[in-house]
Amino acid sequence: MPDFECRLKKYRQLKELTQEELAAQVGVRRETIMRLEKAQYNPSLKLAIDISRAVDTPIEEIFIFPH
Amino acid sequence: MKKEVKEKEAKKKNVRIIIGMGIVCLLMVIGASWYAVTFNDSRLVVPMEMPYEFTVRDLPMLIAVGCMVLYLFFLFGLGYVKGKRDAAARVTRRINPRFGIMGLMGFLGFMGFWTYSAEGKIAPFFFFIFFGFFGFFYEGKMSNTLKDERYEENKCKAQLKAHGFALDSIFVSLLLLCAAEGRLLKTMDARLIFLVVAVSCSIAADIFLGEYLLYRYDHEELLDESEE
Repeated sequence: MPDFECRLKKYRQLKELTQEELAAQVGVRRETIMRLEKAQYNPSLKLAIDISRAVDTPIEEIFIFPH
Repeated sequence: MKKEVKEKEAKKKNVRIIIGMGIVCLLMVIGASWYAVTFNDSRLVVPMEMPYEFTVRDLPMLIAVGCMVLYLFFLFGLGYVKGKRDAAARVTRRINPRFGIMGLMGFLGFMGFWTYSAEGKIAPFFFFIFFGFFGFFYEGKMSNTLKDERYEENKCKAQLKAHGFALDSIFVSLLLLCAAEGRLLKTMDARLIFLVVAVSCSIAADIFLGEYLLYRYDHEELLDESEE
């Protein structure tokens, strides 16, 4: 299980995007977005960048890894 | 929408043409065999003495068999191209989970005990490989799924585990074979049967586990699938 905090849900809702819409934008399945939001999946750098662009938020604010 | 319907119809038409070609080739071979048996002393049907000398009456059989071989090459090529297209596609291939029933064909492997005692043939033991077709049940459940990075990651993980299990089981079988040599498996035939069964079952487990684990990894630990 990846050890990080994911604040994607908050920024996605701020952008008024559904999981389905965000998934379509970044080219993954809705289930993948669900797992990301529950911090059950560690995304690739490309997916993280795509998500950060889709929700207009820096990566480090969406995915928070403890030091 | 109309484009999709048109594409579906064109696909159905192509399948009908391919099946039709197969039926024509089969009828040609049956007709040519009948001709050869009736008018050509069963040449090219029954094994004949070499060297071969061409006669005009061999032509129907040669043409029919030639067409059949070309058709089989065509089918092989079609399968190869489709396989490449499926691999490059963004979604998994569409497959009905009911194809998993084909796994029951694995029980044909038990036929080997009968064929070995009756005719000394061990080839039917290979049918145990068909147990792997139970994997179609899980592949069908993952049918038409977008192959995103999590899918690819899970697929690699599942295949790695399945290959590892298959290799381990083959290794353990070989160890058992060495340990049991001369005690339980006294004849060379018994050892060969043991090895064929062990390898066939390991490959079947590899095929099945690859699909089963992929399905499990893809669905595990997600209790609440509702959108929040």
